[in-house]
Amino acid sequence: MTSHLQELENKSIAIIREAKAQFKNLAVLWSTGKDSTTSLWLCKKAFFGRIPFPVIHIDTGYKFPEIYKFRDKVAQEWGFNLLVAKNEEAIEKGMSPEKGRFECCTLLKTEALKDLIEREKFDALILSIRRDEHGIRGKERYFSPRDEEFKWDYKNQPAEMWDLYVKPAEDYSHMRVHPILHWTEFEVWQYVKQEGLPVNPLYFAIDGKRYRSLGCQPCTIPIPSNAKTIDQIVEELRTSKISERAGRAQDKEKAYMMQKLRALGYM
Amino acid sequence: MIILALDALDLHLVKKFNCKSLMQKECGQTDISEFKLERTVVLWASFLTGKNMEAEIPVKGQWEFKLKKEETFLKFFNSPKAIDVPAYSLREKNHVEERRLLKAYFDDKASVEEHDRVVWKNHEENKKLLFQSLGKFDLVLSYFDLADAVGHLSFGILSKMKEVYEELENLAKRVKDEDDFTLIISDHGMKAVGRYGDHTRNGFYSLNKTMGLNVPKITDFYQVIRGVAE
Amino acid sequence: MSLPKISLVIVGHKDHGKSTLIGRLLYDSKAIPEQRLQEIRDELERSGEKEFRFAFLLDSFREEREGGLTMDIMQTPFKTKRHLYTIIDCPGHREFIKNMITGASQADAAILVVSAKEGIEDQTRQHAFLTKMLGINQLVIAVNKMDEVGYDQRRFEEFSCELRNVMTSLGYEDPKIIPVSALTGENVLKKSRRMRWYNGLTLVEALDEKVSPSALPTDKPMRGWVQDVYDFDMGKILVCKIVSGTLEMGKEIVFQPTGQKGLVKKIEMFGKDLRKAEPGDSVGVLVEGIKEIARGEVISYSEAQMLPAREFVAEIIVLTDLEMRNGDVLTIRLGTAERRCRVQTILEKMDAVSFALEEKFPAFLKEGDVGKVRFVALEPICLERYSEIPELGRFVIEGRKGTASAGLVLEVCIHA
Repeated sequence: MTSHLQELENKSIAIIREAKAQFKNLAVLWSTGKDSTTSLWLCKKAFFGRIPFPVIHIDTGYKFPEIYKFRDKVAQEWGFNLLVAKNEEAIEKGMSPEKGRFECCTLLKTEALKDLIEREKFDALILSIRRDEHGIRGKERYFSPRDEEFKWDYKNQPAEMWDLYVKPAEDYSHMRVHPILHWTEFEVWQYVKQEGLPVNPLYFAIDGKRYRSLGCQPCTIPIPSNAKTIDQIVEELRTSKISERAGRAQDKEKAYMMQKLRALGYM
Repeated sequence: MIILALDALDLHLVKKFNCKSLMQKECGQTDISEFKLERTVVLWASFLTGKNMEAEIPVKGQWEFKLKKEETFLKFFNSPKAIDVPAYSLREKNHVEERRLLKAYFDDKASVEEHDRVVWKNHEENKKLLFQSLGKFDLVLSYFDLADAVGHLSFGILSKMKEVYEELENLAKRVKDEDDFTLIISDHGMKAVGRYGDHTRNGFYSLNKTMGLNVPKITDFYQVIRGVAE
Repeated sequence: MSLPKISLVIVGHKDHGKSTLIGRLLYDSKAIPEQRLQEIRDELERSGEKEFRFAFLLDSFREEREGGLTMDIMQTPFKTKRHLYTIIDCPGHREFIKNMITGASQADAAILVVSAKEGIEDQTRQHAFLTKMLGINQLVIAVNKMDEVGYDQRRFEEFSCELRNVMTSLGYEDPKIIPVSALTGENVLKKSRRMRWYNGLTLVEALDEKVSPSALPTDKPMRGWVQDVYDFDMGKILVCKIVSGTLEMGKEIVFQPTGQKGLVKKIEMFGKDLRKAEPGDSVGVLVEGIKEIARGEVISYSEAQMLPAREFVAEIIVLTDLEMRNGDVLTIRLGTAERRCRVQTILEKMDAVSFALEEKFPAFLKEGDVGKVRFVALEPICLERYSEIPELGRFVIEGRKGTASAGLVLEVCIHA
C-alpha cells in the first residue's frame, strides 16, 4: 500500500467510523460505480470485514442491465443488506426522460430516496461525492446536513473545523457523510486497482467506446475510448481533456438534442 | 417580389446583433403554435400553401415530400423562381450530406467543424444561385438553412452565431431593393440547450413595407403574398 | 505522483484579487485541461463577457448557469518542481469568516494576498491573525495588483516594510513578500518582465522554498483517542486513532480519564495485524485487562501519561451569534470526547485587526471576537497545549446551529 493511498484510506475510515459512532441509523448509497464501490470497501475495512448497516441502491428502472447484474453479484459476494429504492408508482405511470429530464431525475431518484429514508428512518447517509467532480462540491463538508427537501444551504453551512465533523444540530432531515470527499478521480482508480475491487464492465471499452460515469441508460453517453484495463483508463485520464461530471451535464444536453433532432426528422 | 426564407432565424439574435437589413421596415415574430412539432418541412409547406400541412406530411419521408405548383402561392406569379425550397425544390444531395454529418457528430464520428464546413459550402452555392436569379423573375424565393444547421450544434456559442447572422445581414443588404416587395421569413426560432440549439415556437418575419401585421401565423402569408402579387 | 501533497489556503481581503491569483496559479501551471478552457471561453462569450477573466475560472457558486457548464477546476491540484498543491476554497467576505476558518483549518500552508493599490486593510490583518492563530506558519505574502501601481519599485518597498512590521508583530519571522500581478501573470509562476528591479523569487518559488510537508510526530509521547468500541464475533475491539508517538504491541496503555490500564494484545487493520501504529493510523486494538471503555477516552503510556485537566486556558474565536459569557456551561468537543466545561473567566478580548489587547476581563465574547478564556472542566477532560500536540489541543464548542466557537489550548492545569 503506497503511503499516499494509506493516508487517504485512514482519513476516510476515520470519517466512516465517526458517522457510525454519532448516528443511530446509518446507510450507505451505492450506484455500483467506482466511487461508491470504493466507499463500500472502505466501510468493510472500517468495520473489520462487515458492513453493519444497509446498502441502498436507487433503481430508476432505466439502469444498464450490466449494473443490475453487477449489483446482485457483489451484494451476494460481500454479503451485505441491499435495499433497493424505487419509485414504482412513477415508473408505472410511464415517467421517462422524454417527459423532462429534471422531472424524471426528481421523481425516480430523489423521491425514491426520500421515501426510503422516511420509511426506514435513516438519520445519516454515506455518499461518495468528491470535491474534484463538480465546482459546487468544492464547498461541501465531510458531514453535511440536509433539510427535508434535500436542500443544501451552501452559504450558511456550519463551520467544520479540523476533523471535528459537523454534529447533528436541529432542523435537519438527515446528515450526509462524504468519506472520499478529498479523493481525486485518479486516486480512486489507483485504489481500485491496488485493492482489486470489482469494477463494472461498462467502464471498459467495447467497440471503441466506454462509459466514464454510470448513470441511467437513456441519459448517459459513452465516450470514444480504447481503454480496456484500469491502467489504460488511468493513462487516458492523465491526458484527458473532458472532465467527468462536466461530461455528464453535457451528456444530458447532448442526449436531449439527439432525441429532439430525431423527432424532428433530421436523424 | 423577393422572399428570403431563412430557416431558424430568431428575432432575439437579429436584435442582439443589430441586423438592420434583416429587420427592414417592419419586423416581428410569427405564431406557429398551431403545430404540434416545429418541423421544417411542415412549416415551409404550410407557408407555401396557406394551410396547416402537419397531418399530411409524416416524419418518415418528409424530406422527399413535394408540393405541386398549383397548391402554392407560386401560382400567382408569371415567372416564379424557387431555390432550394423545402417541400418544393429542395436541393436534396446537399441536405442529405448535412444530415449525414449531423448524425456522424452525435455518433462521435465527425466534428462540429466538419459539419459546419459543408453547411457553409452549401450556403455559398445557394447564394450564387440567388444572385444569378435576381432581376430575372417576378418572384425569387430563396431558402438558406445556415442559421438552422449551424445553430443545431452551436447556438449556445455566441461567436459562431454572430458569424452566421452577420453573413445573413450582408445577404439581406445586397438583396435590398426599394421597389421590389421583400419578405424575409423564418419557419421557427431557436433557443440554447447548452451549446446546442433547439427549435422554438415563434418564427421571424420582416417586410420592406409597413403592413401592420400582428404576430401573424405562418399560414397567413399566403394571402398576404397573393394580395401583393395581384 | 511522488510529489508531496500540500493543502494550500489563500487568504486576504475579498477585493485584493485572491480568485484571480488562484486562476493564474492553475492556468500558468497548466493544471487546467485545454477542453475546460475552451468551454469556459465559450460560456464567457455566451454570457456576453468581453474578456477572459481568471476569476471566472473559480466562479463555482453561480446559481443560474447558462448552458449548465460547471466549474470543477478548484480542486485541480497544481504542480511545481517540489510539491503538489491543492487549493482550499476560502471566501473572503466578512460574513463567511466561519468558511474561512473551516478552510484554513485544513491547510498546511497559506498565501496572504494584499493589494499594492488598496493597501493593508482590516480584513488583511484579521486573516493574518487568524492564520497565525491556527498555527499555519508556512506562509508567503503576495503583494498583488502591481500592475495597478505601475509596477513601481518604491511603492513595493515601502509597502513591504509596512507588511513586515505587521507580520513580525504576529510572530512570523522573516516573512517572504513577493510583488505579483495575478491579472497579467507577472511573477506568479513566470519571472516578471515588467519589474526588472526585482531580483527575488517568484511567488511559486518562494512557496516551494517555504513549504515542507510536516513530519509525523512519531517522537512525541504516544497519544491516541478511542473512537468507538465494536463488539463483533472476535471480541471487543477498540477503534483508536493514533495522534502522536507510536502504539506498539505488547505494551501497557493507560486510559484517561477512567484511569484503567491494559495490555495491547493485537493491533489490526482489516486484513492484517500490525506490530505498531503511527500518527494518523486508525486501528482496531484488542486490549487485555480492561472493563468498560467508552468513546472519548485518550490512551497513552504510563511513562508519559496523559492526565485529565481540571482547568485550562484557551484562545477562542467565536464563529456564530452564540455569545460567550462568564459562567456559561458549554459542551466542548475535542478529539472524540465531549465534555462539559464552564467558562470561569474571560481573561482577554483581542482585536484581530489591531492585534492589540482590546479589553481585559470583558463581560462576553461575540461573533467574530477572539479572546483568551479560562475554563473549568466539569467532567475530566484530556488536553494538550496546541503548540505541543495540535490534535489534542484544538476543540469546538457546539451551539444549537452547529459549531459556535473554536478553541486552541494555551495552558493546561492539572490538579491531581
